[in-house]
Amino acid sequence: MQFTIIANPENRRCQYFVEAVHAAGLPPVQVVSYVDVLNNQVDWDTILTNTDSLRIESFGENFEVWRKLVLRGNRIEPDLSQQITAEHEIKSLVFEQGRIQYSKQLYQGYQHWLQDLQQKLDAYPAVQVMNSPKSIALMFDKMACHQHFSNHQISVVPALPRVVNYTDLRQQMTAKGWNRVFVKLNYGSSASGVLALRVNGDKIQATTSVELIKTLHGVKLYNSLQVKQYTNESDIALIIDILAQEDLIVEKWIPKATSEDGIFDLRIVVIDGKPDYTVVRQSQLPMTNLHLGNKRGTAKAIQELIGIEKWQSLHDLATQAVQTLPNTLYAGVDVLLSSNYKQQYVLETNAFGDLLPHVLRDDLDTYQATVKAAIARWKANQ
Amino acid sequence: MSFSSNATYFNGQKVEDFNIEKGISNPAIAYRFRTDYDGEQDYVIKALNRFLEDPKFSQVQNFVIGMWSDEHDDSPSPILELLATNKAKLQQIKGIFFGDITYEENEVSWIENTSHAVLLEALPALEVYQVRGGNGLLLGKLHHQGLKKLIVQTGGMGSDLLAEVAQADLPNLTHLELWLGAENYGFSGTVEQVMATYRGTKANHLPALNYLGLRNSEIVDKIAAALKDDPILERIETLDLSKGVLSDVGAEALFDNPSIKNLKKLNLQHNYISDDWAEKLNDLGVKIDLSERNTEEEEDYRYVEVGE
Repeated sequence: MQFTIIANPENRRCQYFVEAVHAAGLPPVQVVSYVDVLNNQVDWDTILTNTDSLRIESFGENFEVWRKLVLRGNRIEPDLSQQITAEHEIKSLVFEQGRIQYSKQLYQGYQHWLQDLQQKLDAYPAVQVMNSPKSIALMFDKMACHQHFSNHQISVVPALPRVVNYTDLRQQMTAKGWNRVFVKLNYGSSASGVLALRVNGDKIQATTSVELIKTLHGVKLYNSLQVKQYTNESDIALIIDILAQEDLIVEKWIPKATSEDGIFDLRIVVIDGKPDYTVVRQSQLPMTNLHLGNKRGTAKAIQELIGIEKWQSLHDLATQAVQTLPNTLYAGVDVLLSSNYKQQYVLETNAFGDLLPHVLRDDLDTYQATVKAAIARWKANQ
Repeated sequence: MSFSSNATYFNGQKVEDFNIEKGISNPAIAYRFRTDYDGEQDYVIKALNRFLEDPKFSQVQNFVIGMWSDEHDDSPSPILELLATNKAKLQQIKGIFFGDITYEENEVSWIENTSHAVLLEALPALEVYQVRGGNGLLLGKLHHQGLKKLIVQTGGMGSDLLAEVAQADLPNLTHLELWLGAENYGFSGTVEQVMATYRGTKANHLPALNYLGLRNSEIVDKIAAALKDDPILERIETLDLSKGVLSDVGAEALFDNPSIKNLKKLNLQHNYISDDWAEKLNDLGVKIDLSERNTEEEEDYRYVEVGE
């Protein structure tokens, strides 16, 4: 059985997968690099003829790939003069650690490429994709995914319809009677471009990993590892107006359940219909993302706190959510339990959310488990 | 941003959210009443009524009020009134935590509070009272026989509240814990007004005091200096100046204060003391907590841990 992965070969994600396939005693993985793909230097016929199972891995952490996808997305922009200006800008960009920009173009470019890939795959029905291009595109688009889950009766945090700027946000919040919301980049990940915003009369407070830098040449936004607090409305409006150009999703800020170590939510990796991998993310801040200095909690402590029934039902919710996605072998699902333990919601779903190194279940890590599931799926079809 | 977790224990009892359908299943639990998120309005009032009518209520000793309003920051007056009206039923209550509200549920400096005098006056046998949220908070005359422990947690404490504590008559109070906060969030006292809270305006103020906490303060350096030769240090066991912005200035004042050695415990957790001064304080021979030292940051980045 032959596995193929489309990935950035230098990235640890690719290496984990290659190792997992090797550990399963299978022939070496055929590695297709995103750079080659986006430079049209890939002979798809040869590759897909020689593929039984295909994994589409994250394109992240590679600036060249990022730039190519952004350029591709930018070419979808209907206003030609704007497109040309942006193209020039994108080509001259140098890598800036943590800069937040072009997330919409990035999504559009990637989604466009995924559609392309699907067309190629249509000619090779024998190739099994672990996660389908359609599923990956859906998970990437938070608003679309939110709507998808709503349509499938999966409990999601209430969200506002499209928000175009800060003024619009405040008007919609007032209309709903909401004082607390999470503002997120619609195509963002890893708490990039996320603000926990609350207002009360003329008071306003945004807790965020976004760093606002004002220079003579304009305003820049960065992801900061140090979560900041803004209480100045004009700064907050400025940040939100910039982010809104890349599309937003705005959700009600539901207070999360707390343990002694702060609020917590669960990242549950569902593989082949089984929610076998869980990470408890705990935080003293509204964002629970582990790279922001937050700690992993232990499953045992949370099970004891909320009871095994609630723990189980959170896992059922994650599993059900993934079941509704089109042809999806694995996904990382973030679920939250409300502070009074009464409500549970899917926060978001991540097509590349199975990167949990060193977390083992029955001696298998997530990559080994996905390989095992893909093998079983392939055998069942033979 | 310190109130990141809800209480798991209060006054020695486990805390659990009250379930309006089940009622009191175990009177040894400190039940918590908080808004039912996305649920009906006045849920807390409704649940409290159910609680008060429960046949097992007479065995209850402690309870907790959590976030009392969902989106709009209403005053907790209706809850205080309800409890005061039912005072005949509440005489066996030992402890109340009014405002178990996390950072997620509401910013401490945004909690709309009011005077709690009506409740404190109604419950002369109450032993432990903890309240969170300083906007509009008052405690009244504070002439109270039973009270042993008073904890007031604010992002910024008003001078009117400090004055109430200074004029209090609390003969059995052993534990006074005031989270003073920052001027930006409503702290409006002077160091003299803070000192008056434990020195009092009359003789024999807080005669039973054993623990003094002046926590989460941005003027803690001045408080440390003002404690020089203060007679309070002759009679308390624990001084708690934690969660503030104590720097080497305050550390030096404490070090040069011979009365500090009378203490059994000095809590300076979360501070801005340098390695040198931390070492000197450690050599005093008093049990001291110097954890969460922030030595790297520049002065501009200093912050009061609870404020916002």
